[in-house]
Amino acid sequence: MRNILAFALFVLSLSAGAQNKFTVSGYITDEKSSETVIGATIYDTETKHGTITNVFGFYSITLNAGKHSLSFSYVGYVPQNKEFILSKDTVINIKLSENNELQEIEVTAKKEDAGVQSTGTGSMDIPVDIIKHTPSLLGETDVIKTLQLTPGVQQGIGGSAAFYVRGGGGDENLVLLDGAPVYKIDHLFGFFSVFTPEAVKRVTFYKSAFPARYNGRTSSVVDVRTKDGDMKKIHGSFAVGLLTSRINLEGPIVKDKTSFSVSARTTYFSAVTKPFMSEDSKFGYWFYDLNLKVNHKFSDKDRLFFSLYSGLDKYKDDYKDDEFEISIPYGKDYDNRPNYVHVPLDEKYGTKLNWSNFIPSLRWNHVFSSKLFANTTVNYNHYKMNMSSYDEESYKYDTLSYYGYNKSEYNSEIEDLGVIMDFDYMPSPNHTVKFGVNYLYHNFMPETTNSVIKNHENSVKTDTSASMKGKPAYANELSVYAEDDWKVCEKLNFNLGVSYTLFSLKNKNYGNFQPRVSLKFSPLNYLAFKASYSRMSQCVHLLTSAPISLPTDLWVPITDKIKPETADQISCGVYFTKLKSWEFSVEGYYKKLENVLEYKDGMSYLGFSGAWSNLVASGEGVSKGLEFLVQKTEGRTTGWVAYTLSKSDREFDRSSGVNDGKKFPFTYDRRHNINIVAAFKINEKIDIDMSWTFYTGACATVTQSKLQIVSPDGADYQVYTGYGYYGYYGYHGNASYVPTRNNYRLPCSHTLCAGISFHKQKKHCERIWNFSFYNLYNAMNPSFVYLKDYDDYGHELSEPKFKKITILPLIPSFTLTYKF
Amino acid sequence: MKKFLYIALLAVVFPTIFSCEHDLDLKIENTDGVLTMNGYLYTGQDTNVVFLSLTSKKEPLPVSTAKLEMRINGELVETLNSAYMKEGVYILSKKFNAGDKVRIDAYYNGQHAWAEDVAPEQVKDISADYRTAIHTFKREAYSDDYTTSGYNDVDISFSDLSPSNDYYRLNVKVYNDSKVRNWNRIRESWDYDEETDEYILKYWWYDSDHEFYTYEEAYNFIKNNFEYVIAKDGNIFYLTEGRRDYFNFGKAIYKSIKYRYDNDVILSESETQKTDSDLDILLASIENQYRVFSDNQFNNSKAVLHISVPYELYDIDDNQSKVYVYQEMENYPEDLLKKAGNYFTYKIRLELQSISEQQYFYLRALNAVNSDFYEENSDLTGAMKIPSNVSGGCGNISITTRSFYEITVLDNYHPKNSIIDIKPFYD
Repeated sequence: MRNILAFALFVLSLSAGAQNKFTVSGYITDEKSSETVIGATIYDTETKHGTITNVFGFYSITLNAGKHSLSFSYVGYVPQNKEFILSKDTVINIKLSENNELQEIEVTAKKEDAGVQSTGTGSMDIPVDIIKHTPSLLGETDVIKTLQLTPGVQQGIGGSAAFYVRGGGGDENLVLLDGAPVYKIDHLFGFFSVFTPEAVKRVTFYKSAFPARYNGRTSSVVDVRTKDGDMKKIHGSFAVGLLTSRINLEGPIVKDKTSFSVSARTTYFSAVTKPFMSEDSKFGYWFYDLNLKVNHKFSDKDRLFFSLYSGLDKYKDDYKDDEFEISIPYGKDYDNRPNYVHVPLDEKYGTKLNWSNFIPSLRWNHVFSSKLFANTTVNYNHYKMNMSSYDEESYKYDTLSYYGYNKSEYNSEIEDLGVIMDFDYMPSPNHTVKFGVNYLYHNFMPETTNSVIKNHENSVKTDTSASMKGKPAYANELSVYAEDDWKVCEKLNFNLGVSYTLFSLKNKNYGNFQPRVSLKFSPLNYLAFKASYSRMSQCVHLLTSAPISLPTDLWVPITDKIKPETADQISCGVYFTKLKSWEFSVEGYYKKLENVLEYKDGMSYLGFSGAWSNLVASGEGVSKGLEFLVQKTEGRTTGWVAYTLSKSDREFDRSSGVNDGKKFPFTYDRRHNINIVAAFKINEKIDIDMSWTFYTGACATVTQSKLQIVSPDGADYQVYTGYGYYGYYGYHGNASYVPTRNNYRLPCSHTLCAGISFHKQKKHCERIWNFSFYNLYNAMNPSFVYLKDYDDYGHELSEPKFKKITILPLIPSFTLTYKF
Repeated sequence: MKKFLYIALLAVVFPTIFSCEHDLDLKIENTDGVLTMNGYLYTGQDTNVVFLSLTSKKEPLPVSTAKLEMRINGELVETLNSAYMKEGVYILSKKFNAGDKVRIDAYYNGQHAWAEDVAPEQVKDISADYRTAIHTFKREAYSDDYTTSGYNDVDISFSDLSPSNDYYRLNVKVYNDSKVRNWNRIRESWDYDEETDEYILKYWWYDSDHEFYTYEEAYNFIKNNFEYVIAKDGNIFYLTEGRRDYFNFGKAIYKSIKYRYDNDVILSESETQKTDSDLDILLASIENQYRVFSDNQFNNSKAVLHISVPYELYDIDDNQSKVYVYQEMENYPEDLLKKAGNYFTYKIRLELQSISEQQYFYLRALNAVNSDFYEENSDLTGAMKIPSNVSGGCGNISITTRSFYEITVLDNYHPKNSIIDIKPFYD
């Protein structure tokens, strides 16, 4: 803590000598909509000093008194220049107007917060335009699918929205929606993410050199900011796809004061399939997303935002069966034994499965002074999963009757209440200081099960019920941080940061000191070298059992026995931007993970829901890799080619019960990955997008050998010694012999996706037809692999065969969008 | 689950509805011929058994010519140079106690596999209480087959061994010894004696081969030739092995029985109730077939287990439970017992085993491997690695320390000297 105070004093002292300096500050907004512009560049052509707007569109730059010429620019907007004589602190709010020339799709923005121009390595801004132009499964463009195409990011099963960054697990990604962490980021077994592009304003992605303000996950940060809403006029869009429809509407409530933005998406799969279902079978699957944001501008100094994300997946099936007969005793036969009669049994059974996110948040922006900007956020996050299944049977015959009911429920919930205070302090053009405090109250209720059995036989009721409430875990997570982006000289930038997180459980406190250092050296204005070190820690984990995202995947906190996971990452890179519109970069990284969780051998299986902390063990992981990226950022053809060479392993102690203490490759370790993304703007009316991905095969655990297993006392096996039985020593059987986890690498997978969009300007709106093709040349990529011992008729095969299942072959789709 | 997954995928691939399955030519490492050691060693037991085999593509191959060594606390105490049986059964005859570290080494064909485990402490304060009840349970998971039967609900309490992680297994054995009551009278008959021209009162038992001149003579004959005799209400009861066409009881032994633990939170370890559903993969739990549990919920304190032991009688010959008995007796075991005989002993022996962590996870993995659930869904999750504590090979060698508690549920046993109420039938 002493270090933090010293650091804070140091950065505050930097402004002490600035007596002849004054500060220019203000907001940069879109002229048409008054939407704040994040990451816009402010540059003083006189002094060569510059800064950028923060996530709320606010900027502050402190300059010497005198004449200045400030340039305000942002990609896709007409730059503006302001010349003035600075003699006091000045507020200049800028409205940038869109460039009406042919709009190219911009791959990356030249911002100093992320990307090539930033001080840190491994960061990238993903423009919403690119997200919208990435061809994806069923035309459902989304943030995560685009992220998967960037270097260092692996996807899980092809087509899914899961992502794994630099050898980290799926739970090691901090996904923030307007500052609030989102636990479940996908729908429908992970095939669609919860982020609809219409609601999104900006996505910033970090995979190393994490700014100190981000805490809580070890591998990446995805900071998603949603639109504030147009302050001038109402407009929106409506899109109809094969699986979902989306609507987006934004506009002023009070012109130039209060605005709203609302986006909703829903699926109608159930309605489409309903005519094809039998009368005795009712099936329904449905999900929706709702993003709502209202913001009110009290003054240039105060703004209030209310935002809400609500998402729900709902699955239900009900079946009815009255064809089954059972025999029941009725009276006596001539031998005075029970007589049996056959009576029809009415049977109903079904399942419900719901999971939902509910995340409201309230933010207040306040400009304390031209140098100090504050954002205070209060948010609530409720993730809930509920599954239940039932079966019900009944019959009636003369005076006999029976009613049986059996119901099981499984619930898992997380509730977070967070208060975040972030401060941006800009004492001089060479320093941008961010500091703040983040408090989260967690309430984990990972496993609650309820069982009900009703039995009414001839009016005799024997009902039982059992309820097992998983032990709720309450935790307080407090983080304090400070960072300074320090421009030492024209060619040298430092980003120094530190964060301290205290995770407090009932019986245990864990403190984590997390230093972050980044260095950027630019000997030439088109060449930069960067290096960074960062330490991240993580106090929550997601326990998963299958390569697809299941609602039963369990978010759990660390315990008094399970320590927080930490990651130390060193990253360095070279960046070259000599050629206009082109960027070249090479980054290398080495990441060491400690206290990563894995299920113990034999436990990594569905159906072991109970007592999770007993079933996992902590170990170590090492990831290393090289990432090459070539981007074309402007022009009619834009896109990138990315190549990643990586390796990621896990290693646990022998006593941990994981893989006999032997090192094994991480499940999502893939040696080579190539991503090619291209967007062609043919003319105003037609654009074509494509992406091609190539992956070295994923790791799988397969085997052909069998080992002997022996059951303990109680099974039916006796050893006869000739003098008598020695007793019961267990049943002999066999099971697959797996020498080590992930012992086989599946064949490579590659997928080409393409889409074409036709734009037509109608009288009141623009119509866009998009046709897209997932897996255009129908590559049979292995999604799952299994060993087949028996043929379809149940006969044992002389030679067992491995089978691969490809779940996503060529899938065409279309989307019709109206923008009004 | 597969159905549900396919429905989900159907949603995704709605336009084409094709997920494809193809052969995959995998060239994987040959893992046949790995030495496998298995054995459950019991603290304080005179003999213990170790099984040796080799992994193989089809059935594991037994190894009968390996050298086996047993060490207790580092000291070599026994060496075997071949198996007792060709099935790879090695019988060790050195006893060890709780707290001892036992190591088994096996040498075969250049392979050296070894495993080590520490004999757990014995649970000292086990106690139990019971009551008779009727429950309706599913016969098997995922089935529609319910059965209403008589049970003995048993509450078992004991103290956790230590503040650290401890693991247990509850095995229940049932002893039932019953012989069917059969009965007859010492009958009287008046036989005509041609020599004396008189009618003589005779007594006979069962058939004319056994005729007696006095009641006492008849009674003594029965008493001396049949194991137990009870006279009551003018009947002479004798006990036999039973009529094979009706009840077929054999020699009584303690036999493990599959008890229910449906409402016990410790044994179920959050296992949910099984229902019929396409979502079983999500909801489902794997049955705790081997009844293992940890002290997760009662660490360093008192545990109370609630189990239901079926009131079933077993025929040792065919191993089938005599469910029909209940049908005859209108599902009421007490009736059965009243009718079945007045020589009936029914005991429940609780065998609380303290086991090592290795054995706990091994048996939990076997719970999964033996389940239909695993069979149906393993293509989704990949092959399971069975936990092993054998270095240089695979398998499981683990030690169990048992403690016992016996409940005598019924004991209608009448020893020979308790013959009572002999009343002449003619009274």
